[in-house]
Amino acid sequence: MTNSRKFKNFLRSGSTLLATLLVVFVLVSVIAYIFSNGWGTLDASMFSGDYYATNILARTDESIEALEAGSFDRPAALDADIPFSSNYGFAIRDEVNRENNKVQSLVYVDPNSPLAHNMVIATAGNKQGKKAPFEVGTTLLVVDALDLEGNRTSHGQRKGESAEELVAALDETIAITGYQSQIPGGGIRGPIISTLILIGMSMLFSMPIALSAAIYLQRLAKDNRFTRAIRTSINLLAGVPSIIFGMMGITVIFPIVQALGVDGLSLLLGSLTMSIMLLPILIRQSEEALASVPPSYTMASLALGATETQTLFKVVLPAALPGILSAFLLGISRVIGESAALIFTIGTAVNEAPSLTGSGSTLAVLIWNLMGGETPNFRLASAVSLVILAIVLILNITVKIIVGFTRKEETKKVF
Amino acid sequence: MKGRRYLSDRIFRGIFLFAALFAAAMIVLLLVFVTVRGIQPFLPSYPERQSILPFLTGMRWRADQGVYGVGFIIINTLVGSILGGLLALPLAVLSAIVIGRIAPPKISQALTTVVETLAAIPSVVYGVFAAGKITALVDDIASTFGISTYGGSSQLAVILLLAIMTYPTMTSLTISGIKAVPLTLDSASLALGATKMETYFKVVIPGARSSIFAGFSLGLGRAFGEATAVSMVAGNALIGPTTSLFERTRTLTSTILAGLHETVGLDYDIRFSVGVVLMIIILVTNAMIFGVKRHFDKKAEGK
Repeated sequence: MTNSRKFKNFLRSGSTLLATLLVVFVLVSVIAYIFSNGWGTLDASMFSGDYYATNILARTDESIEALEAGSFDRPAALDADIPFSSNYGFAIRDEVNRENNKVQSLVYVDPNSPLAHNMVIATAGNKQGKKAPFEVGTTLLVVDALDLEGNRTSHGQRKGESAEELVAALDETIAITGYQSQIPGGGIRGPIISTLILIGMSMLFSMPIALSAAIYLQRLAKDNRFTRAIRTSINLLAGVPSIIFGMMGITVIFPIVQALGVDGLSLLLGSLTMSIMLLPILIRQSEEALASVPPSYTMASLALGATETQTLFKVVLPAALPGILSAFLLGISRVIGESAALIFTIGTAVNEAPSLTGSGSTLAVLIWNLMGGETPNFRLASAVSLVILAIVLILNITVKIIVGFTRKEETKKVF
Repeated sequence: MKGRRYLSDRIFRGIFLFAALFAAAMIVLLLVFVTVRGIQPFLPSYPERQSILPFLTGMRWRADQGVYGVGFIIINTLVGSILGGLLALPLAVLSAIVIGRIAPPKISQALTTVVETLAAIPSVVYGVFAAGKITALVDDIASTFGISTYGGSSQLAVILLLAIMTYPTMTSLTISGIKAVPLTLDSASLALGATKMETYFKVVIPGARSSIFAGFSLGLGRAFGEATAVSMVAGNALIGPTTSLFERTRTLTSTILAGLHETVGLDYDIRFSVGVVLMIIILVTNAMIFGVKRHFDKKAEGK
């Protein structure tokens, strides 16, 4: 072999290797980036918590004027560098929370701390007069106290003090008269519920139509111009960008939903839009599932005297079930990841208690929301991305396992 | 298949046919309704009527001043998407050759999983990655040239992001194309004295040509229509076209999404016009790619 041929061979094998390594590197860096940014923010309270922070104005209950300072012991388990108020029995530290704000949050509250028992919510509303929550995780904004001479003073973050300064100042006081605190937001309970509603409704609308269309195309349609036109239309639909589906939702589906009495952007509008967007992929997957059923099954069933309908529902569909399930799971993972079409149809504002007829924001739309504006919140966006990524990857792996399993079963049947 | 038809069979046949027609009708509804909505701002009856020519050729998009020109946005979208697609194409073909021919079954399977995983990652997640990592990379590259960027939001960031996002589409189609090339062709080429690499590059890849074209056009379609991730790194330039890789850009999709608040008025309606432009661009590019493919096919036949 000539040297130039050898050199070309070397270049060719080198380039294939490099390209493959680069692709693996990209996948690893995407996952590593999301994981390293999101993992620290992820905790149980994020899944159950409200998205918007709640402000609390607390004062002493009717019975007493002020909570007198006591004497509390620092718990042994508490890190030495976390400031602890021995007068009032709580530990507090400076943090950056999920919403990317600098806060001072409680890390320990003594069970006998007067603040945990004798404070009521003074903010107007249905919770007024109820016991104010003074718990680990709550952030303190400002504390009103009486100093050694009995004069009112205020301390805390709002006064520009660090957690350490706050504790030091409070330990120079004799009583507390009230405080303002915040139950931190950044929870994704609302978006999770929205996502679930959207998944349920989209699949409910989409799956029956897709499966029926697939049955027609795979089992009933003759190979003629009419069928080819239907196929071409469905393929064209598959190539439409999702943002255009959002526009379709506004122009075509919005009037229909409005006629049903649901005005404005709603999860119903979003799920109807999604269900049309899902049609091409669900039809293709269902067709594949139906094609995997051997024709001999149909013939055997018909030969035994079963009607076409009986054959379809009792023989073909059960045999195609794994493939249909795969289609279903892939559809779900599409809904979870979709953002552009939904920004148009369900809105971007987070709804803490979403309903089918109200607007909301799914996890994916929430990410888009968090990344917009002047200061994108990378940490929470990454944490939510991590949740989405985990669900989508699990769904895809499940599909792979189902497909692999049915392939094995088929080979068993052949031999 | 003639014979007795049961009523239930006929009913279900009707339902299945209706479902197929319903699915097929959606593309018609979509095209008609979005187009009708998109041309509203140019009709005489529209209160703040826009002229169509300045809209299509305009080089400024100032929603705050009521100036809407998509000319430079079209150019930016085409440049960003095509360069992103062209960047992804060699990677797709080279790695598809590894998966389809070179690698042993186990490694080939693992690499297929890598491609499928890349395809499954939702676009917002790519957006977060791009806004965090790719923009930082672009900023670093720019600063070595002594150029300052808007935090890395730039044409280059869009190109890199779109290369990553179009890669899985192109690759999975190329893989199936490569697998469809009969192994006898390989054997023939090897028997004639070609090396394995020469066979892959001169026999297998040309043999998978039509799948590669299909993958490229599907990938480009995805690049044109990609919205949320792109809008996180585009930077939304107000004038254009963007001439430097490190300058901010604006794509059709990022324009549609930018500052979406109200659901009435010109600022909202004009987004549908941009959507119509986007659909036309996708259709025209697909037609062009199809034309190029036909040209290549004819040349191949001529040989």
